[in-house]
Formats: sequence, structure tokens, C-alpha cells
Amino acid sequence: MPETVPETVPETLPGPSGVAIGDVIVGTMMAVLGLVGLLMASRALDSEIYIFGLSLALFAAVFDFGLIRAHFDKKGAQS
Amino acid sequence: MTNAVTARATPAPRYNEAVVRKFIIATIFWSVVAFALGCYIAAELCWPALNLDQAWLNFGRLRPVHTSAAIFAFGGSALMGSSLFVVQRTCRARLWGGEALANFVFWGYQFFIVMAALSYVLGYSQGKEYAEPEWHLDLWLTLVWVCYLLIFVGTLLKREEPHIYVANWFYLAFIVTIAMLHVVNNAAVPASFFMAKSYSVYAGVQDALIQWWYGHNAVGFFLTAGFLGMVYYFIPKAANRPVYSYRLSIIHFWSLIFMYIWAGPHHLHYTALPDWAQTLGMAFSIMLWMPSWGGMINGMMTLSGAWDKLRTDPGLRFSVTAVGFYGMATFEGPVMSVRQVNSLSHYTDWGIGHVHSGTLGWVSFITFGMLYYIVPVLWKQRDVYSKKLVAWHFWIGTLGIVFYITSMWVSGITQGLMWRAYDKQGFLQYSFVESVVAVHPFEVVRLIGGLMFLAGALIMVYNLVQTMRGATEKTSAAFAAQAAE
Repeated sequence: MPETVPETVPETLPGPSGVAIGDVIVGTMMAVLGLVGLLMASRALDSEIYIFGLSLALFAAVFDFGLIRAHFDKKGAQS
Repeated sequence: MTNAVTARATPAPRYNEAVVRKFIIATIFWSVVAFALGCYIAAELCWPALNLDQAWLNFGRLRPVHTSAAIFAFGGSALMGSSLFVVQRTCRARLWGGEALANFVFWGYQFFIVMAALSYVLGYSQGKEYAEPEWHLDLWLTLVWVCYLLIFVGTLLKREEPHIYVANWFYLAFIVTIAMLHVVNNAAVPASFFMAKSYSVYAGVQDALIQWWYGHNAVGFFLTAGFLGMVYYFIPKAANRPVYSYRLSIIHFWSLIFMYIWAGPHHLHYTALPDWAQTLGMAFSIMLWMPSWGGMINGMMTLSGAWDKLRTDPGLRFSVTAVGFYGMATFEGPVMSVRQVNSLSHYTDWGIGHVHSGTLGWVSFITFGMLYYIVPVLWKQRDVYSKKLVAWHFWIGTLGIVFYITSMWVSGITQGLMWRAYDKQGFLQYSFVESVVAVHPFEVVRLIGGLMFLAGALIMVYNLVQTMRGATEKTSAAFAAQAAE
């Protein structure tokens, strides 16, 4: 059985603030998509776009909060 | 060779198993949803009053929910989870792109499924089979799919192993081709950015041809190529044997990829599509026998010298039976694509039976085999909670499929014969409703088969949840004995 690398090895390259670059890119993308969702819901001409827009905004917010929580959980585990 | 040796000497990286576990849980959850919905709409076909006069419970709205739940939610989650598991282990590389991107692919895909199902029950649809979601959902899926492709290709590129294992070729073909099919078939102009309604850029027979180029290759690349990736990894692993012929697997791959893409027009026999295009689709469908059966033989023969494992490993039994059903469905499909056979079988229940021998016997069974292998590995257990329950699942599921497909054969041929029957004056001998009444008993038998399949899946859910919780039959028995005292 090969040895596994210890748990402390970083999963992606951290940026200058210690936040993984991948997390920043995905988090920013989700924030933009959440805003697009709000825009769609605000001008919706049918119930489908209204529901989709609101759901997208909610999804983006929950996802980004999840990223922030995971970051601080990881930081807490390291200290 | 030197590289391979060096790679094995270095420690294995810490794989991203968290996202794989999420996909596996989603697969188990969606299996029950998809099968239960199938049973409900099968019951509606027996007793239409079960739609309770509610528009959102209508067969027309629930049917795409069932097909999308089965193909995209259950099948898609299984494919994405297993592909991310296989690519890491066969490349000895952690997933490219980091945890956030992998989580986006998982949650983004689940978001697509829920939003699509909601849009169907609300009555929004493009009216294209297996491509019902409107433009905004199509764009969202494209974004998620591109991220999935990036993760998969990125992991292949940073691999530590010199060779790309054949299972990854099948998975990659599935990912790339589905992206192409999805983008081309869903090219549409929305009526407004704030409105779900859109208009396809194609019209008339071109629209039909593009739709069935998409539809048949959704079967070929989503429901076949991707699951063949599972065959080439999980059967050798479970049997602890190498693939019977690696060379045959390469021939299987390239011939399948080349031929499948041309077979779509066989869905449009006796339509406005030019005859030569219909014949082309038919000819390529018949040629597909060769690669399909080559793959089936390769999967089966991988058990050479390990056939005894079928007695002791009921999970492997699922995988091997799935390969058998793959052979059967890929024999029946080309037969049905022949124009003269199609004139009898098309639009009848025979087609439904054929599709379900593929989705229940092939897709679901290979997925169940994968689940019974992967769950103990991912949750660090020695084995599944109960092999006896796996065996129960296998036999109930198999019997359910037999009920399903035999009833649909009889029903389909009955419908086909009744619809084409003429009397002496040249009038149709039967009205449509007479054919509906004639097939009612077979519809009930189909429902019974579906319920049996669902019951088997529920047994699997219990077994796998217990496995995840770390329970063993022994500890359960000890607990029961203790409780009895």
C-alpha cells in the first residue's frame, strides 16, 4: 500500500491572502451569476424566469457563504 | 516503463473523495426518485384518473421529469462521480482546479436537475425529447459541463501515470460529445432575456434530424460510452482480473465512437427525411453490432478464471448481468432500426420495452455494481453491510426487468399489428381506443415489474446507508441478541 501525503498538504495554490486562487475565481463567478439571477427575477415576464432568477441568486449566496465557511474551517484546523 | 516505476515509488496524492461521495449520495437519492416517478406514471397509464385533474400531475408533464431524473439525475450523477473517482486513481493525480470548482460542478449540476424538473411541472418545455429544458437552463448546464470537462482534462494532463487508461477514454468521449450535442441541438433564440420561451434556430426536417442526431447520441454517449467507462474500471477491479483484451478495448472505443454518431436518422423512418439519410442511419445502426458485441465479450471474458466470484460477490453479478443486457439491448436496437421492422415497432410500447432493457438492465445494473464496489471503498469499510440483501436486490430487480420488457414486447407488437390492420374495404380495422383497451393488462404487468425494480432499489438504499454508517451484519446480529436478552 503506498503512503498517502499528510492531510496538511494544501489542495490548491494559495494566493497572497492565503485564500486558494481557485476559490476566488469560483466565488467571484458565483457572485456575478447571483446578480444576473436577481436581474432576471426583477424583470421577469413569466413565472419560470422569476423562480429561476431568485433560485439562482439564493444558490449563489449559499454557495459563496459555504466557500467562506470552508476557508475559516480550514484556517481554524491549521492553527 | 521507468516513468511507471517512478510513479509507483512516489506516494499516492490525497484524492478529492469528498466530491465523489456527494455524487454517490446523489446517485442513490435520484435512483429512488426516478424509479418511483416511473411507477407513478406507469400507474397513470393504467388508470388515467390518477392525475387527479391536476395539470402538474399530468402524464405529459411528469414523463420528462421521470426521464430526466433517470438519465440526467441518476445516470448523470453516477457517471460524474465514478469518472472523477476513476480519473484520479488511474492518473494518480488529485482533481485539477481545487475543491471549489469540483463543488461547483456538483451543486451546479444538482441545481440544474431541480430547476429543470420544476420547469417541466410548471409546463415549460422546448418540446424536444431528452432536451426539454428552455434556453436559460441549457446555458447553465453548459457552464457546469465546461467546468466538469476542465476538471477531467486538467487531471489527465497532470497525471503521474504515463498511460491514459481506457476507461478514461470512454469517459472523455462522453463528456466531449455530450457538450457538442447539447450546444448544437439547443441552439435557440429566446423571445426575451426575461422570458423562458425560445425558438429553435432549425426548422422542419432539419430540426427533426438535429433532434434525433442529439437523441440517439445521448443514448450512445451518455448511456453507453460513459457507462462503458464503468465497465472497464469496476469489473476488472471487482473481479481482480485485468481486462480480457486491452487491444479489443481500443478497437471497441474507436469503432463505437465512429459509428454511433451516424445512427440517429433511424428514428425518422417513413418521415420527410430523404430516403438515403434514413438508409444511412439504418446501415450504421446494423454496423454497430460489431463494436457493441466486441465490448460485451471483452467485459464478460474479463471474468475468465474468476467466474466463481459470481457466487460470492453479488455486486459483481450486477455488473456482469448489466453487460449481458448491454449485449441484448444492442442486438435489439439494430433490429428495430431496420425500416421494415421499424414500421411495426415505431410509436409502440416495443420501443419503451427496448429503452428499459437498456436503462434498467444495462445502465442501472452497471451503476448498482459500481455502487456496491465504491461505497465500501469511499466510506473505508471492509465490505457492504449485507451481501444477502445485495442478492435479494439482484433477483427482485432482474425479475422486475423480465416482467417489464416481456409485457412491453407483447403490448408493442399488439399495438403495431392492430394499427396496421385493414378490413376488406381498406378501412382501418380497429380504432385507436380499441388498441388502448387491448394493451391494458400488459400495462398493469409493466407497473408490477417497475414496482419490483423500485423495491430492489429501496433494499439497496438501506444496505448502502448501513454500509456508510459502518454497520455490519455481525454487529447487527450481536445488537439484536443483546436487545433480546
